[in-house]
Amino acid sequence: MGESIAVLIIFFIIVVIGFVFYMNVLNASSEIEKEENLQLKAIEIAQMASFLPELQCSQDNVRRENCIDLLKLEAAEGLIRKNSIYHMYYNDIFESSNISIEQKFPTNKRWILYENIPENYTNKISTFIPISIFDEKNEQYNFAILSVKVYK
Amino acid sequence: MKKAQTEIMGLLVIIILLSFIMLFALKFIILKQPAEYKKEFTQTELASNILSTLFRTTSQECGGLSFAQLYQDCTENWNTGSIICNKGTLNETNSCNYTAEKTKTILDETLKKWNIGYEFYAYTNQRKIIEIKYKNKACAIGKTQGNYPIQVGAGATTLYTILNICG
Repeated sequence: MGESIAVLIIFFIIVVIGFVFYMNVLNASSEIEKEENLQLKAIEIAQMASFLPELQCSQDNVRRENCIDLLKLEAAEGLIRKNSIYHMYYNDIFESSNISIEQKFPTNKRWILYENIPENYTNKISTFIPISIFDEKNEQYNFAILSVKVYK
Repeated sequence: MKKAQTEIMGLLVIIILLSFIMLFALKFIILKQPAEYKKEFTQTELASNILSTLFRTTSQECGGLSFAQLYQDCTENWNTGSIICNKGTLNETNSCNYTAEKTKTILDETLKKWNIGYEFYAYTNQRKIIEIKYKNKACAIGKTQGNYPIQVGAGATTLYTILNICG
């Protein structure tokens, strides 16, 4: 009788250890899944930001890849950041992220297109995409980086 | 063999089996790294995008010509360059020196700043035009390459430009 009880106790201890281990494994795999989902989200937002028709250079309705029109950018910056209706519209697209454009050549300049940084974020993924800024007035292409930071 | 000994043997077998299962789970689940979708996406795009953006960039200091045109001039008029940048100023320089300096500035302002190692080469079949490098530990792991060939002198010569990104 005593032996059977001892065996049962040990068996249940093993079951409890196994369960705790299983929960830890489950937790670890869900963390991995969260990280992967955030990465996919970051790619999606970066792609959407770099192909925004509102900003892309175009001539005769033909869009130029990896190019942002300076006039459109300056206008959009003012609208998206200062007008709450536009900010709400872009909030559906860009969610919790920070999208800025940093000009690196010929001079250093920075435009913040969209900003929605959560107060207590636990993870951040940054994506950098080289793009040209087309200055219509001076007919010149400047070298810039589209920086997309996605927060979770 | 007594009954108790048989039971202990049974327990031992269960413990050994459980240990194996746990080790397996540990290897495949806990130690599993998240798939690097973002790294794959950025690295494949980054090298080619930097090159295409760089060669499209224009310079007011060199009469509004693009970097591609300046590289072409440097290749055609090796080492001296027929185009003068910053003409009439203290910084007056030829297209070869200008492109080498500004390409390094742009790559340092981007890749080096993000601590990404890189190797930039511009060469023809005859000679090396420009070589800029910034190496870090990731260069030993592997490289992603971007290419941008530029036709020079009515297509008679090709200037090959390569950007290797480490990691």
